[in-house]
Amino acid sequence: MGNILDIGISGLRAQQAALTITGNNITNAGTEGYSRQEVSFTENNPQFSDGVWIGSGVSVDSVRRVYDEFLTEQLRRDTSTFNNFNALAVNAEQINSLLADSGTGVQPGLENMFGALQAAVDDPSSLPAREVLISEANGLVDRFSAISDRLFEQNDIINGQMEVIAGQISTIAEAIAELNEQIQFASASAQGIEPSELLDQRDRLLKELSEFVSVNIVSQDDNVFNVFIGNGQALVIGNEFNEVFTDIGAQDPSRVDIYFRKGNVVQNVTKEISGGQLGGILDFRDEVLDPTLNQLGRLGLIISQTMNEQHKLGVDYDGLKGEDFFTDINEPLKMYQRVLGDRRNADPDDRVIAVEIKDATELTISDYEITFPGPDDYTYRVRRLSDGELLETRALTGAFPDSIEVDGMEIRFEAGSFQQGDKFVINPTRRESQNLDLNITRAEQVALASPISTDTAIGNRGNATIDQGEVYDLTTSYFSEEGEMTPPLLIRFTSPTTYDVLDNTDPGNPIPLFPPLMNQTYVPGISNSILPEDEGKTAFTSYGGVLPLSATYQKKGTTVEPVNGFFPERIEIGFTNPENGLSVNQKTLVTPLNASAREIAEALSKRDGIEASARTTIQLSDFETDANPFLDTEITLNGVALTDVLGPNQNKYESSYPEEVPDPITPNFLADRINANYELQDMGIVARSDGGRLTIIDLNGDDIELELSGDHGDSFSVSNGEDIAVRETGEATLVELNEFEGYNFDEGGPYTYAFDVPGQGTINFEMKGSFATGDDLLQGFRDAIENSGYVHSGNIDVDINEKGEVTFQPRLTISGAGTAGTNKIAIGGQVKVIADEHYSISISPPGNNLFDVEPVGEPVAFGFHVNISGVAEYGDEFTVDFNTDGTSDSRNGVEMAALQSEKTVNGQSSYSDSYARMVEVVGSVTSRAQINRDSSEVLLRNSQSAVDSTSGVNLDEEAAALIKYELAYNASAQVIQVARDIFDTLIGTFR
Amino acid sequence: MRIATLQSFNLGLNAILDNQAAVNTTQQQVSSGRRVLTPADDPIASTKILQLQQDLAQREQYERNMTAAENRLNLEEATLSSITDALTRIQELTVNAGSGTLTITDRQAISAEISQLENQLGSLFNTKDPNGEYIFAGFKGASAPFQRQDNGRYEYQGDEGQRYLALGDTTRVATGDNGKKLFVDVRAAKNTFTTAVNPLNEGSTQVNAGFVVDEEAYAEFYPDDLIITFNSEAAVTPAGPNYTIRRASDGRVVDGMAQREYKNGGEIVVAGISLKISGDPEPGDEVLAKSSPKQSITDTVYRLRQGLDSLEDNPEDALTLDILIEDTLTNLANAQTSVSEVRSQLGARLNVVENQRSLSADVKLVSQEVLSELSDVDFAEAVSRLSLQTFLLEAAQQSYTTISRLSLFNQL
Repeated sequence: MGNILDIGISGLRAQQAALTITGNNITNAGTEGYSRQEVSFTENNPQFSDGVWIGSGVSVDSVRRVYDEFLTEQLRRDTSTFNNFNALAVNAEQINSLLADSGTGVQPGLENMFGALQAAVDDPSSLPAREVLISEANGLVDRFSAISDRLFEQNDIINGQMEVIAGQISTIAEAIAELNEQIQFASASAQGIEPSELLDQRDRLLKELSEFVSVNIVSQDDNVFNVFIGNGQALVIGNEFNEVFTDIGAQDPSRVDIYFRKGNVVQNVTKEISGGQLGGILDFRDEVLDPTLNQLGRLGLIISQTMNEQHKLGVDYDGLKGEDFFTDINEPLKMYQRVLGDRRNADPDDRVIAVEIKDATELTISDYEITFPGPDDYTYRVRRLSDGELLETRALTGAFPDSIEVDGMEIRFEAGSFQQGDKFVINPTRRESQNLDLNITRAEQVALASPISTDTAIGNRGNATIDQGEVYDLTTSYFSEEGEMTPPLLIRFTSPTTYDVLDNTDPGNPIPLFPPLMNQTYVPGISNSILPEDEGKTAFTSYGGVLPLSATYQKKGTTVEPVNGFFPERIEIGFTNPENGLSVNQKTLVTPLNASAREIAEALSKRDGIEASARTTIQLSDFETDANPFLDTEITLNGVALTDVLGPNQNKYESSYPEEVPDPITPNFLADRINANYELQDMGIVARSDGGRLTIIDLNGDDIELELSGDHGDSFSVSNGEDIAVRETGEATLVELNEFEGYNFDEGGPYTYAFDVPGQGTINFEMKGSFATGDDLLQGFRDAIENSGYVHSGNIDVDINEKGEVTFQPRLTISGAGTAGTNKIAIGGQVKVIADEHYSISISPPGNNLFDVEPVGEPVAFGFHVNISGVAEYGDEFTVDFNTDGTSDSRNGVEMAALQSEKTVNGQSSYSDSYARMVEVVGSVTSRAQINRDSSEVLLRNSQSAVDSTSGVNLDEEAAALIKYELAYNASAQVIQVARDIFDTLIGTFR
Repeated sequence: MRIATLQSFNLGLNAILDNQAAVNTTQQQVSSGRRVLTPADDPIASTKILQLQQDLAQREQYERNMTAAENRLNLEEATLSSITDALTRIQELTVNAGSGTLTITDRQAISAEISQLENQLGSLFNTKDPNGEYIFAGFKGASAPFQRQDNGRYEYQGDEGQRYLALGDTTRVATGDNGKKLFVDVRAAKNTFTTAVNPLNEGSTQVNAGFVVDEEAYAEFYPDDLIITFNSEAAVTPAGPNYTIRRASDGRVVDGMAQREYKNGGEIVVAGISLKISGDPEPGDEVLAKSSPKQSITDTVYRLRQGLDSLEDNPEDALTLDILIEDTLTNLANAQTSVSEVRSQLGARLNVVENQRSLSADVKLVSQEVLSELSDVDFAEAVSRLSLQTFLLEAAQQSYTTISRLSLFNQL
């Protein structure tokens, strides 16, 4: 009977508990992460009484936390995924708009700048048009800066975000560890019954954690969760936690990396982190921010380099050579900025590496890594990070600087103690978008004009025309002086198919160039390129003919051959391999004693990489005749008698030859005879006379042999045709000297002079004394030069021209030998050697009188092309000179404007194509991130739904439960009432 | 499927939020008229849009170039037309002057009128465009190409440059012609010569145009050039300026003219030509007489005037005058030919510009259409989409409030 009471009470208690739980569910219906609890009743053990088992009521068996471990895991994973894509999409969208917007994008900047350039090209003499160009170029620079500033700002922002998130992760880790401990304790003290609220709390923390980063949960037996992030890094083990924090990146101080501290060990886990906001931010950095910065930087570099190169081929409004339009991409500071040393490199911090951009159009947008893997301290590897390809494995030579070229850059190790374990990162283009800046500031500095201008002489009889010329290299010697061409060129046709190119510094007196460019071939009917192409060739020129100390005497009846006096020379021809820098010498060429220039040139031409030509020049002057003539003066050239008297039926000369032989013999007479002689014409001999000097040229380079027969007083002087110029040194300025007046060098002064002799260097002398007449003055110079240490044969002949310029020639006088014999002389020629690129010549010691001991090659290239086409006549002339006052010229501007559509980037895209591609890539990534975000959001909602569906509180359900338990409670209460009635009845019975 | 209370509220809320976002996007499209708001909306179309925009910008630039080219070419044409008229008038006067009944005074009167025309020609040759650039000066457009010397002779100081403008990616047109080609390189009736001073001269030497006095002598000398060099003053006694005349080919002295005394403005006759040098020469200065088959228009008129001013009424001079008139008429006819050749070239160039303009306009139209297709929104579709989405949004909002009122607790 007492049982009924107990049963009732048990019921009451049980329902009360159920109502409490239900109430708890209802009040927590809105609590995030709350798992509803369900009560389960169990019948108490029955008792055996009066032969039957009678039950003893109900009690609460357990309060079950309705919770599905797998659904929760799913929810955590989806949370990480969604946050990952969300973080990526949000950041990428910002960059997306920045690049494409017409107010901030680079494209309109490019359009405006090139539009202004075209306007300036239309009207090059207008300074305002150039001003507009400069301001639009500045506008382009500003756009680059604005975008790159914004990108770097974003970098700073995400740095901050990463720091905050890392802090939060650590805080949550701490809280989870604590909860683990509490749960453990609570479970233990409750004999293994789990404390639902604590579990819910921990789940909430885990979900929050998964918003930040992907987590991996491993549960231990006693309900302890161990949390792992990244690639197995243990964030929480039991009740211990490890810290996650951010610090300056080991490789790049401008960005932070994620570090994991376990005990005393700090690990950089940036690459291991994935998922969650942190993973999304890191993905953004790798997939959007860095590539965009790199591409933008590369575009800036390419624009700078290509526009600078073209701009420097032009001249500006003031006629000066164009400077860099944008700042030089290889300023020292920029070169060092491109390399970053890993912070973990061993001390001392003294390593210096520079990266010079050799050709921006070949750059990639990847970053590079240099590692020193060991085991020694000088082997290093260069790896390209975009595809991981190992580009080079090299060893430092130990001598600085040490360079290596990859992908358009030159990596230069300049100093420092490199060692095993060193690491460096190269960002060739990352920071360059900030570096784009305009170098020129004034409108006059815009170089729109081309430096050269061509002219057709008025007197031309042919109809040949010359084009406007094109410059490809302004660093040659022709443009070494500002505002002029040194020297300007005169192209003179010596026949319809041959022309000479001459130095036209003095238009009244054009002289051959050095090295000479004579007798070039011209083909009428096609467009001829007049000047040799720049193939990297160099020219070496020999000294020229050697004047002997005296003529060779040939006794009558004998035959003596004079020699040209060239000693044997040992010529080495070397080839330097451009790839590895090694030099190889060919077999030494030994020129025979007294070989003619032609023979030497032919021998040289047989060698690889060498082409040589020869020409012999001599000058005759000062023809004297004996006061008492007895013999006829006879002069023979190369065996051909020139002073013979022939009858009317002669066939030795053309009909225009002078018949009468003058006495003394004159240069004009000899010149006419030589030019009219068939035999000499066949030998390639030409002669010129200006009345005072006879110049004889052998176009093939054979020796020129002269023989003089006559009285002892018959003579003439011979020189090798080269005038040596005497220049004033020192500060005394002179009255112009002339040949007719004397001068007093004792007043004013000191009067110092110098002259250069190939092979003897510069020789100085001083003029002293007073000279009364012009002749004395000339003698004074002669003496001074003779005593100056100048080594020569023959006499010095000094000449002062109308402008007061002093020149001299060493001359050998040849006289007749009377009846006993004749005097002969042979003069050798000059050899011009053109060596192909990478070839050079050197002379094995001892050098003699053919080439300079250390021959210096002059570059053959002019730096510009000109073309002539049409039919030219003998005497037609064209000039090429500096484009002075060419303010209406915009040829260089046209070339610069053409850069807009030229495929400058890797030979495949133009500036705007490259920019458009960059915008497209960012757009694609953003679009993909947005799609992924949307789809993962749907998945997230679904898994949230699934979890809610299982563990969420349904108020209606709870309301129904309330009713149910209340009824049950009332019913149990009734049972107690009945028990009490029974008891009362029982007690009343016994009263 | 069991729905938790919180879950049902979240579901309803999410639906509202999603619809709101969709309405927002559509509303932005409709109000801006653009379909592609950010490159992410359609990455491939964005690239194409950027390229088309650049293409259109370039076309506009070319159109500006075309206008500039047309303006310059029209100016040149008008100037050349005036020059042709002036030349025609000079030709008429020349014919008049050749009439045998005129005296020297009559001829001098004609010469005066020709002088006026010469001035007019001079200023036409030095025409400037509206920007102040001399159109016939080649690349040296900042200074007048035809400069008048003290002795009345015009010298060409410009160069032979010609400027081109781009009208399309591969089309260029020349926007000017230089004065040398037009007015200086004119075929002469006979072989003649041009005089010039060496630009490196230190003294102030000037030379007149000179003329041929002895045809046979000059024909022998032609095509060689003369170089007159001034020697040091001490070369003659008494000391004074003196000169030597050599030929350019080999430097030989011509006609024995060595160390001749210099008279300012005096006539020098050598190798069949006569010329006058004036001014103060320094030793080393050079005067050049280059043989040429061409003669500039200004030199032709100059020589004509000199002849009309100085030739007397005697038979000898009459013969010289006849030859001069004949040569002048030939030269002027050649000049007219030279000018009209260029005028027809101008016409051809203007045609090129015209054609290019219409071609460019067509291409531009096509590009604009494509651009519009890619980037503009289809209003009909967008507006109807907007109304659908607004409807959905309203429905979501109403159903939310309705469902939230349903609860068993209301029945308790």
